[in-house]
Amino acid sequence: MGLRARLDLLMPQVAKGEDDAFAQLYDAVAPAVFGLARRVLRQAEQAEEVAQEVLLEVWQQASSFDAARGSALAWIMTMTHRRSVDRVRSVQAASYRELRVGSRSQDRPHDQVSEAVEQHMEAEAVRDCVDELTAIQRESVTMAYFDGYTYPEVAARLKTPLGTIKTRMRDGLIRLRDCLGVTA
Amino acid sequence: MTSDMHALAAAYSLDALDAAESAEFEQHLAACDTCSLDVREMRETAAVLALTSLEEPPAALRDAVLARVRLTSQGSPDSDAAAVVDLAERRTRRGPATRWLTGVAAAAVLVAGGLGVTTYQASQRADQAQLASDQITALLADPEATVERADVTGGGAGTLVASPSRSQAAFLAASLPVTGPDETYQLWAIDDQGATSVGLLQPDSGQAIALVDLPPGTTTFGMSVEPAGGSPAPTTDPVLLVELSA
Repeated sequence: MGLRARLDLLMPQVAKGEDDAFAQLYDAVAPAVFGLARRVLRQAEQAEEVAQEVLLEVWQQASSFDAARGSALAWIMTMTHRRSVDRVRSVQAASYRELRVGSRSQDRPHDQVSEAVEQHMEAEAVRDCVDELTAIQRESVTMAYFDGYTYPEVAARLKTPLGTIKTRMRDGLIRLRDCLGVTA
Repeated sequence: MTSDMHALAAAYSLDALDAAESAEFEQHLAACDTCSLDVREMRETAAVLALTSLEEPPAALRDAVLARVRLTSQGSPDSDAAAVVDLAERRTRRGPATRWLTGVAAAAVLVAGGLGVTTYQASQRADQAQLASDQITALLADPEATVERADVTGGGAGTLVASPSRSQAAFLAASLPVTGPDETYQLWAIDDQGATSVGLLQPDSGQAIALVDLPPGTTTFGMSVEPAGGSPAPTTDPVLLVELSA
């Protein structure tokens, strides 16, 4: 069973306050939450804080989760991304950005598959779809999603007009959506 | 304007708009069904993208989250979905926000209450104080002992030095706010069954040292302000929670 389906099955039990179901949900989704926060924030301590906040919010707000409005995975990852990006853009942003840029050279290259990913067949399928994007589509989507840049920042970094980036982001996501067969 | 806005659905879904543009788009979103569907599908797509960046978090995070889940009540469907779960903030909130588990442990409290703790007070018999002091000294000197520090809501801080077996701990508190005449600090050992009293704490000018016996299975040490004489189970939110490392 895919992660998306698994989380959707667990959510009603979590909403009823079942600790055990939450522990299962934690084990299923925590690597995605921590992994995304770490990608955006770089620092493990910051990522841990975000992951803790998000996972506790999942527990707290479980009963307000509405499956009709999307999957639990999307709900949880949207929260994770939002919070990570908010931190990156917070008060310390200036100095923090420098730190992030400075550490970019240590980043995993795009095509290097981490061990965790290798174990994850779903991730492989996603990667195949990412590889089908044009370079600029891929860059604009991943710089926004994994680096937390706004689209004007992406445009500046790629030395590409704003309008083009806006469109490429859109084209890239739509292509990914179709490739992955994602439906709302 | 509308088509221009619509083109921002992708950037919005990736949190790639600045605050002003994001707010503007959300206004548009409320009245644009196509945009809502777009955003939902794009959020789903982005979420799947995160699966290429899995990373196992430290085991301590799991312990911390699950311990807090046991102590935290769930919000009602009406509560603010965007509410920040700030732990420090939560601890200061009074009322039913925190669910201290009761159950089997509640019965045990009556037995355990007051037995497990030794505090330094002038009235205490010197030999007892000496024994506790020796045990605390031994604990502090044990290289295998774990040390956890946490701030106390309302002021001050506490440090818990736990024995390697986690069966005993020294709790040192500093700069604790003075409790009212009808209140006392109460210490709790918390496991998956709930909170068990391990004694009362009477700080002398805000300072206190206590030797605490922790029941097997204790995962978290807590302190709350209770009515004088203590409570069989916590009646207020904890002012301090310390996770025992495994």
